[in-house]
Amino acid sequence: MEQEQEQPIERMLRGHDFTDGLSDGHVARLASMASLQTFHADERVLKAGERADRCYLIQEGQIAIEIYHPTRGGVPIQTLGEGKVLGWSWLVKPYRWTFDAMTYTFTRAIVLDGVRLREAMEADPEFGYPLAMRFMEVCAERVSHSRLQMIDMFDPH
Amino acid sequence: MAVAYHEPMLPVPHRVRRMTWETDDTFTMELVAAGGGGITSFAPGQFNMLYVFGVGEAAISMSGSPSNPETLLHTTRAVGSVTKALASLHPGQLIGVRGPYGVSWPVDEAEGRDIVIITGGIGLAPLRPLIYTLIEQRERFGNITILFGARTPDEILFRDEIEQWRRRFDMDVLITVDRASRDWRGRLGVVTTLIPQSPFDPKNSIAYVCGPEVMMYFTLEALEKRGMPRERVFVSMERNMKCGLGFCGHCQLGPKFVCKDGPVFRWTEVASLLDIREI
Repeated sequence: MEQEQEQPIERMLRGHDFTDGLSDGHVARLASMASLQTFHADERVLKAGERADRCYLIQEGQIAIEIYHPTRGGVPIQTLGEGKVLGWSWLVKPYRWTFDAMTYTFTRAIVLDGVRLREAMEADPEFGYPLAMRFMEVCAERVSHSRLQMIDMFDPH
Repeated sequence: MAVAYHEPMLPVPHRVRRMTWETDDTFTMELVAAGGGGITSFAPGQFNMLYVFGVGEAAISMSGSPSNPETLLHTTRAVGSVTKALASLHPGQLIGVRGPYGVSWPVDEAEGRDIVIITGGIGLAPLRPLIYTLIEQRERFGNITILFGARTPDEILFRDEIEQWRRRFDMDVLITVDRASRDWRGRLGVVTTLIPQSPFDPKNSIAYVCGPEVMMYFTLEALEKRGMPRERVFVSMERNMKCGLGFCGHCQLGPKFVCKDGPVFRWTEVASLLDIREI
C-alpha cells in the first residue's frame, strides 16, 4: 500500500523543477519523505514564529509570502507558483517560519517532511550536499528578487 | 529601414487630437499633421522628436499601430520639463514633430520562432507597435508570450488592451507587480520571476526587451539561464537624445549613437558597453 502511494509522488517529484538533474536514487529517497497536499484559496499555509518542519514544492496555484504588520495586517511580498519552492526555515536554526504564507488560489503541492529530510541530509552528505545547494539556489534567487523589488526600478525619480 | 522625412531637422506642426491618461503620471497623445508633410510610415520601435514650442524637444517612441501612421500615438510619463509641458497640452494645440528616427524591432528575424516580449513600466509603450504588428501577421510566428511587470496594479499601462490580449487564444500574457495589497490577486514579484515558467522554446525563440536598464540586465541574465542565446535578444536603449540623427553625440554609448544605431540593439552589440559604468 505504501509503495503504491509512493510511486505517483515519485513521478510528480521528477516533474517538478526542483528535482531537475537529481539522480533517480535521490528522487526516490525524497519521495519516501513526501506527501501531497491541496489548499483552497485564502488558506494559511505557514505562520511566522511557528515550528518550521516542512517544505512545499508547488505544483499548481499561487501562494503569497506575507509579512504581518500590526496596523496593515498581512502585507504580501511575493507570490510563488508552479515549479517554485516554499519554505526553507526547516533547514536553518531556530527552525521557525520567518514569514506567513497564504494561498491566493486553489493550490496543490508536494510536502517534504523537513525534519526527516534535514536528518537525512546531515547523515549522508552525498544526498545532503546537492540538496543543500538547491535550497541555497532558492534562497539566492529569493534574495535577488527582493533586492530588485527594493530598488523600486520603475520609479522615475 | 526607410525614413519618411524630407528635412530632418525641421519640425512639422502637428495638432493634439486627444490626450488619454493611462495612469496617474503617464499619458498618450494622439497627433495629426496640421498641414501637409506628416509621417507616412514608421516601423515598430522607432521614435519621434516632439517639440513643445518655447520649452524644448524630447525623444518619444511611437506607441500606435504602424498600419495607421497618419495618426501618431506617443505614450510617455510626465517627469521632465518637456514631458510635463506635453502633459499640460489640450486637444487643438500645436507641437512640432521630427522623425521617425532610429532602428526598429526586427520582425522578419522572428519568422517561424517563438517570441517572448519582456517589459516593465513605460517600456511597454515602444513595444506596443511591435505587438500590433505581430498580431496582424500572427501566422508567421510560433508561440507569442508577453511578460509585463509594473510597479503597482494602478500603474499597469494599457490595462484594457492587455485584458484583450489576455483573452486571445493565440498568445500568453503574464503580468506581475512589484508591490500590492491583498486586494491584488495576481502575481507579485519582479518581472524576471515570470521567465522560467513561460511557454517559449529558448532554442528557437527571439526576445524583445524594454524597460529600465537594471530590469533589462537581470532579464537578460534570466533569459541566458533559460538557455536563450544572446544574439537572439533585442533591447531598446534609452539615452538623452537631442538631434536624433547621430550628429550631436548626446546619446553616445561608447562607439554607438543610440538615436541612429539604436534605440533597438541586438544584445551582443551593447552587452559589453553596459558593463562599463563610466559610459
